[in-house]
Amino acid sequence: MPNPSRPAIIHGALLCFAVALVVKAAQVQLVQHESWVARAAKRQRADAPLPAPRGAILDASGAMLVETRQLMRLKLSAREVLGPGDPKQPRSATQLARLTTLRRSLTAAGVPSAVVARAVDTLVPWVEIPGRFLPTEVAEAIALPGVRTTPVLERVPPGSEGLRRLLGRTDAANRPLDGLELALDGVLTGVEGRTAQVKDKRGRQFASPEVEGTAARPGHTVVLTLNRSLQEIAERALGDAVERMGASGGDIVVLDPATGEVRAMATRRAAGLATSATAITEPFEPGSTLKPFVAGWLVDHGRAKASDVVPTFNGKWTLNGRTITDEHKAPRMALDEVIRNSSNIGIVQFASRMSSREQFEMLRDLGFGVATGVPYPSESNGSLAVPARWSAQSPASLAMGYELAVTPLQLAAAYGAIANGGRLMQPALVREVRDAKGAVQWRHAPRVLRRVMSEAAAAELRSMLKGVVDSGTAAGMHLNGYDLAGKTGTARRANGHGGYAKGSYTASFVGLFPADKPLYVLLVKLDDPRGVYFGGKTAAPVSRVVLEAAIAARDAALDRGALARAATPRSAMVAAAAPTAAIPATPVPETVTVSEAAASVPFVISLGGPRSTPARVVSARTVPDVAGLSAREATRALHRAGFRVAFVPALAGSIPVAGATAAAGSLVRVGERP
Amino acid sequence: MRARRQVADWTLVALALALSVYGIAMVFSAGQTDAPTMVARIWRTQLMWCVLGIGAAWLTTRASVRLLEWASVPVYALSTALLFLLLFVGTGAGTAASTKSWLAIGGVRLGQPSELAKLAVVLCLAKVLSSRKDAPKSLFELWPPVVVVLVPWLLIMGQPDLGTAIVFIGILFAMLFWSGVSWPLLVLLASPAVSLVLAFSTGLWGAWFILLIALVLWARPYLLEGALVVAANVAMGVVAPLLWEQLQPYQQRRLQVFLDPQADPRASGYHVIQSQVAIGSGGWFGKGFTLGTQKRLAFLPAQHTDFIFPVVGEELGFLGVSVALILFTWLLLRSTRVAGRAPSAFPSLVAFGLMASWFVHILVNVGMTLNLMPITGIPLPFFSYGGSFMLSCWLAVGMLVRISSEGRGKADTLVI
Repeated sequence: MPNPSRPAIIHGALLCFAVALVVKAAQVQLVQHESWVARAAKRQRADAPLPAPRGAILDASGAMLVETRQLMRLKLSAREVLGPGDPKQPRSATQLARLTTLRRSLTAAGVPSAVVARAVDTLVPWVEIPGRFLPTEVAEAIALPGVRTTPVLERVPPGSEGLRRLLGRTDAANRPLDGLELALDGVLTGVEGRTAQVKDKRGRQFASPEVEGTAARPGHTVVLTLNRSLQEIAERALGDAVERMGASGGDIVVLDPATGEVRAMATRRAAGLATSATAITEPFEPGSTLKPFVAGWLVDHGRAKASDVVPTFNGKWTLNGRTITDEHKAPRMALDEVIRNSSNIGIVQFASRMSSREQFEMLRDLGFGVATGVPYPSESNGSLAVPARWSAQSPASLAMGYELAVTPLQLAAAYGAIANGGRLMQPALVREVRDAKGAVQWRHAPRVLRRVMSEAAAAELRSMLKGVVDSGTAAGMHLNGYDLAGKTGTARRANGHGGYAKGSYTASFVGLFPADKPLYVLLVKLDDPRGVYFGGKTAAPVSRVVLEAAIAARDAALDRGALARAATPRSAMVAAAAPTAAIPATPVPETVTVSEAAASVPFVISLGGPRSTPARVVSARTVPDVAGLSAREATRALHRAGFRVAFVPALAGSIPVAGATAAAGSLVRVGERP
Repeated sequence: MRARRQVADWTLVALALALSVYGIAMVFSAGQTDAPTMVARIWRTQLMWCVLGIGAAWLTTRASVRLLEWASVPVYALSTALLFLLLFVGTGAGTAASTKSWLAIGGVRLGQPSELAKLAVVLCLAKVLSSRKDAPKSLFELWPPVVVVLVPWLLIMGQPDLGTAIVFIGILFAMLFWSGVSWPLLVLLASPAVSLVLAFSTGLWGAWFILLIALVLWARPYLLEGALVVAANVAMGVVAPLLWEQLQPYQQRRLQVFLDPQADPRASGYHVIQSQVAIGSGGWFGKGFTLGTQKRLAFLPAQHTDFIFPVVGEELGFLGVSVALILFTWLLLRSTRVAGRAPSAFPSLVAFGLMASWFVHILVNVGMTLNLMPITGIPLPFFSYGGSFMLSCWLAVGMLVRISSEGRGKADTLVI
């Protein structure tokens, strides 16, 4: 029999042990609670950053230039796709159907068959599918259990080289590398969010039942001042010209002189020379395009009148031991003739009416030597030396546009002052910044930097520049119905060793369009064109190509009302010809040989106004093939080719058919079938 | 002696039932993981075994204590034979896949014979001890009960299943104590094992040895006995390092990790740490039934068997842990009460042995989840998933009820 005292001992012992366990539990659960909770969170939380989509970049009309789209990465476990069950048992019909769906969906999304085979292999624990997919591509697969997705944001780069240079690039992680992407990174970058996720021992992730994640805030949308259609036109024209002339590169800047907004900026360089928007980053010696500013200053300050005559020594004059020559040889010229014929001797003679200080201040006031302040990384200041560093030759050199370097953007902005009546506007690339919901956060207000000449001097200068196109170095460059004003430049190129390279020129043309009330300042610069190198024969025709295409295009940011008022009775309308008929017109040689092959688009919109001069000959075009294109794309392709478009129901193909030749500006009917 | 026929101890039944319901609820919760596994469905099996166990318990209550006494030797022989058989045909399962604990026929696992062996050893030990008129007075007189435990113990160590083997040692000492063996004798009996453990520190072993000598001199056993005990302790001190080498590396690591869980947090310490993370993060009231994250995210190992107690701690908090421990303690006290009121030595010893078996399970299992004990794969009665164990627990309840109904009406010194 048990000892009577033993139950008491046992009871005591049991209670002691029970108390010991409870006390230990209390220590772990109540005293150390916080640290164990922290430990649990550390192991279990798998919060992943939610990438914030980078803001889009739009053109002024809202067309998409660069956008970020969401793709997904896939990771899956075939065993989990099958769902719970004994792996040794035969698979059920549902399980087989799931595997089939997975296989089909992945194959349809273009996953290599070897990867697909691994993905459906239940012996492989986890397979990461290489590549990134649109959610719609793999919709079936991601609906299956065991298929995990990670969102990836991809920046879709702009389609054209010029836009790529200007807008810049981003790396694989959507970080900016250069261009506007870099300069505007602060507004384009969003704020990352976080998912609230938990992970299990094997790393599988689940939505957290307790914690809520924070949503990502997308970056702001940047609306540029560019016009995409005009940009396309400019890039195409520049590309054609560079290729045809064998130039090493070129730039086109189109600027709205009233606001300083850049409408198009095309840049092109031979591979390896530069990756940036060289119209902003690469200064050049402008040559004769600088001459009008001297004339303008003299007129403004009463030092000269347009009719003042200086001797020009039949094209050859030696000053301080330096021989200055003219292409246009004459014994004497008036100031307007000097501009029209781009006389070096004449402008040097006139410039001698300015002091060095006056000449320097004039150039400085025009913005040369100072960055314009557009939001672009590594914008060049150009270079303009102070008079103290000038040599005896400098005043003459500067008058002819040498010994200083300007960027195309600076030069276009300075011409903007001539166009708008004397006010130097700050160039702008960004029109608006909007948040993801579309609310405007910032809007560009045109900013006058300073008045650089009087209204009267600007008007006088515009009429001189019109003379350049009427009968000067850019003669024959007027467009149908509109006058163009402008100045050519043909500058020798530095050889990099302190001298000028023989036979190497920068051809340029800065145009004001239309001449009287300019809506555009258009600068075309070609680096080192082969063959004919004069600005009037190379750059000026490119300007005309751009302008003609811009007028023909429907959405090239032209104020058509203003344009109609500015129309001058210079040429007749092509529209006079029966526009719907496909006229097999024979090409007639144009006055400018260089531009013959250029994609010139005659003006086709009836804007009213007198028509006194005979119609120009219409050039023939090939109707592009628009089969399979969307209505928008087809319209754009036909507009680009210089046709008008009408959509007709129940018509297959187009009339005239693709490949047929038709008059530029005629109507092409396109069937409305998909 | 017998006053009148007692009614069955319904409190004990109610406690066992409450623990079973609690346990099955936790098994259900253990299956609620974020990535579903087969554990999600096993609560039904557990429920079935529980019903089966209650039925078996009812049958057991129909069997008189005398029948039990008569059956003890055949049951012991049967279970020993099964354990022997296991050495050749045993299979592993679940978390103990490398052992040979399971009896399986044609790929279908029938159960763990070691659970039957626990009951058989209790019965047989009770019979052996109750057959004496008075308690054993010397070590030599202890050989029959020691042999009764030693045989199944060795067979189970051969599986190997250290956890279950510990239960047998617990049963032996508890029943010897209950039968009236004096505590110095028990210490002398246990002393070689203590030497084995302490031999890793020469200083500790030395201190223990001096205490032992003092005990031997004070208790004055037979000279030969005293000499043998001292010799055994010396021998154990010498072979301990050799025996340590014989342990499996995972067993060595478990012992080391018990002393310092952070020593190997990725591998051996993993269980202890994850268990404590689960219990500790439960706080006062827990994360809510089925909502424990440690369990849901599969950080908790064997959450439906050996580590089911952390699920209680995580989901129901300190409150749930306390309720479970109170229920367990109450059950043990109630069982002790049954043992105290038993009509004779045999039923008293049986009741106490069954209590002792549960006690060791609870102490070791809960202790290991709280890092009070080293990790040994030992289940928690009424909670851990396992058919044989549920069945054997309810068989024990049945025996206790029968014994209580045959018991004396006289209250013991302590009334619960």
